[in-house]
Parts: sequence; C-alpha cells; structure tokens
Amino acid sequence: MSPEQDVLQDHHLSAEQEEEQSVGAIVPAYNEADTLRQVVSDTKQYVDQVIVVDDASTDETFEIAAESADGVVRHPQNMGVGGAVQTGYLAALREGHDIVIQIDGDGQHDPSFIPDLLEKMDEEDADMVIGSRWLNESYKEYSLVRRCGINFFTYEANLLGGIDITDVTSGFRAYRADMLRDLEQPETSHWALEQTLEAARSGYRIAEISTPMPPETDDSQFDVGTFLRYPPRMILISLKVLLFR
Amino acid sequence: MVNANPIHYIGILVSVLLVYKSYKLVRSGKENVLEFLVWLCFGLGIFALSVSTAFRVFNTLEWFQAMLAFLGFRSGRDGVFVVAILGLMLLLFYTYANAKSNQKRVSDLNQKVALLKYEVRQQDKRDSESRQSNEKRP
Repeated sequence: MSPEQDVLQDHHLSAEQEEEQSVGAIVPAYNEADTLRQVVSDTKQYVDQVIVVDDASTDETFEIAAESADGVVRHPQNMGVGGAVQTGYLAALREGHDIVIQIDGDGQHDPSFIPDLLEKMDEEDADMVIGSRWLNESYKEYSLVRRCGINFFTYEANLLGGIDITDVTSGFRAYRADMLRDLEQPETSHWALEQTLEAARSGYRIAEISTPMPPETDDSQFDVGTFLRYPPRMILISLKVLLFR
Repeated sequence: MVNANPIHYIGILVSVLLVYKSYKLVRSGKENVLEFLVWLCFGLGIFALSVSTAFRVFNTLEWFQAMLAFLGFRSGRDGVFVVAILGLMLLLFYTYANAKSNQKRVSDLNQKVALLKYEVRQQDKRDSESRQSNEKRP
C-alpha cells in the first residue's frame, strides 16, 4: 500500500470514529460557480450533510448549489463572509449537527483534511480546530503584505486571548455545536478574529492542524487598501470583545 | 425697518420646508413625534433668526449672545459656535445610532428570510422523498 493510500485509509478510519456524532459542513459562497460543485462533492465524502450559504451571488452559484448540496441557504442581499458563516452556523444548528465544519467554496481548502480536523478535535477534546497554513510551507506563497497582516492579527489573538495559534484568519475550521450556540454573532467583517478571541476568552479549547492553502484563489481580497483599513477595525473589534463580551 | 437680503429669504424658505417635510413624514408614520419636535424646533429657530434679523423685529443674535454670556461663555460668538457644534454632534450621534440600528435590523431580517426559505425548501425535499418512497412500495 502506498503512503498516499495509507493516509486516505487513516482519514476514513478517523471519520468512522466520529460516526456517533452528526457532522455538518457549511460552505459560504459568493460567485463561486466555477469551483463549488467540486468542493461540495469532495466534502460530501466526509460529512453527513453539506449546506451551502449563497451570499446573494450574481452567477450560477445558487443553481449549482441546489443541484449538488444537501441544502442551500440563499441570502436575499449580500451580507459579507461574516454574515454568510453566521447564517451557516444557524442552519447547521437547526439541523441538529454536533460538529460543524466550515470550508470555503472557492476551492482554497482541501476537504480531504476534514477527518484530520475531526481527529484533532477528538484527541485534544477541542471545541474549535483551525486549519493552519502556517504549520506547513504554503504560507510562503502569500504576498508579504498578507503575511504581515495575518501575523499581526494572530499575534493580537494570542496576546489578548491567552492562546498559542498560528493562523487566526483561516476559514477552514471545525466547531463543536455547543460552542457555536454560546458565542455571540460576530461582525460581518473580521469574523475570524472576533470569533477566535471570544472563544478563547470564554475558556473554549482551540487547536490547530496543518492544512495547505494555495493563495491563488483569494489573494485579490487582501490588497494594500484592505491592509490599511484593518488596524482601526481590529482595534474596535478587540475593544468590543474585551469590554462587552 | 426692513433689512432683508437673499440669505434671509433662503432661511425662511428652508425653515418652512423643514417643518413642512417633517410634518408630512410624521403624518405618514415615517417619523415619530419626538423627531418631528426636534425638526420643528430647528425650523422655528431658523425662521425666527431669519425674520428677526431681516425685519429688525428683535435682535436675536444679541439676545442669544447675552444668554450665552449669562451661562458663562466669555464671548457670545464662541458660545454660539460651541452650542451649535454640540447640537450637531448630538444630531450626528442620533442619526448614526439610528442608521446602525436599521442596518442591524435589515441584516437580521435578511438572515431570517434566508433561513425560513431554507427550511421550506428542505421540508419540500423531505415531502417529495417521502412521496417517492411511498409510491415505490407495493
């Protein structure tokens, strides 16, 4: 048996171990018609239900999601990625899943790492597991501006939340449903920092696994203008979590 | 004595328009009474200032400065600016708070509509599957 086959078998074994718990995946998507079908099809192999959250896409995303996913939530108006993930959590919680996987619809996250997320959650009794690109070489493919930004936010989360993670902005995550029910609704922008910080300060356990994430698909979201707007927003979000949560 | 310049007529027109528009909004239920009273005060203030300075009925500015001096402002003009800025800041805060609250309501509504439609679609799907399985049974 080749090493690749070994890894695949390990993944399926881990998935079997999690059979007693219901696992749902949410896929926030905005104009992801090109990649969504493949992402949903691959994700279906590892979870009980795939729910796509179409954030008022203007392309064929909704139609493709309706054909390929187990359920589609469609926003009448665009709410941004934070709003889409929040709607996804609510839908997954209503479906009664014990564990919720979050994976992007643009193909940046490899669904074959879902069993690793679940295994890590089980091993460390974690409430949230984050797929980190900083635990492998893939972060080196990102632009310097983006790397600086992610490092800054991660440092901030570690400092204020008393945790030790490497990639706070990653959107490839696994959550226990109880924790999602307990957390407040994050802002539509910078949901990842707010959610991680709040979870850490509420005493939830956060773990990480290494997941490669090629930057090609979403590097355009993080230009210099975005980088300049981030610091004041970060300060506001940090104050919000520190003072009011 | 009449000393009316175009700015005085503009002031009178603006004040009348302000009060009229606010009255229309409160009548149609798009504005509450408190908001109408605030705009009415603004409108009447502008109207009084315009009319009194144009027709020299009453020296509003001097009276206002004297009032501010009584409150402790050394210079009446500084007082006018300070009070005007404070008033505008309050107005800005009130408008901002309203806008944020409305934005949150729209977002929540957006989310609720999306989830409701999702549940309806899922229920339809389950019903359809159930019908199909019943039809297959002998």
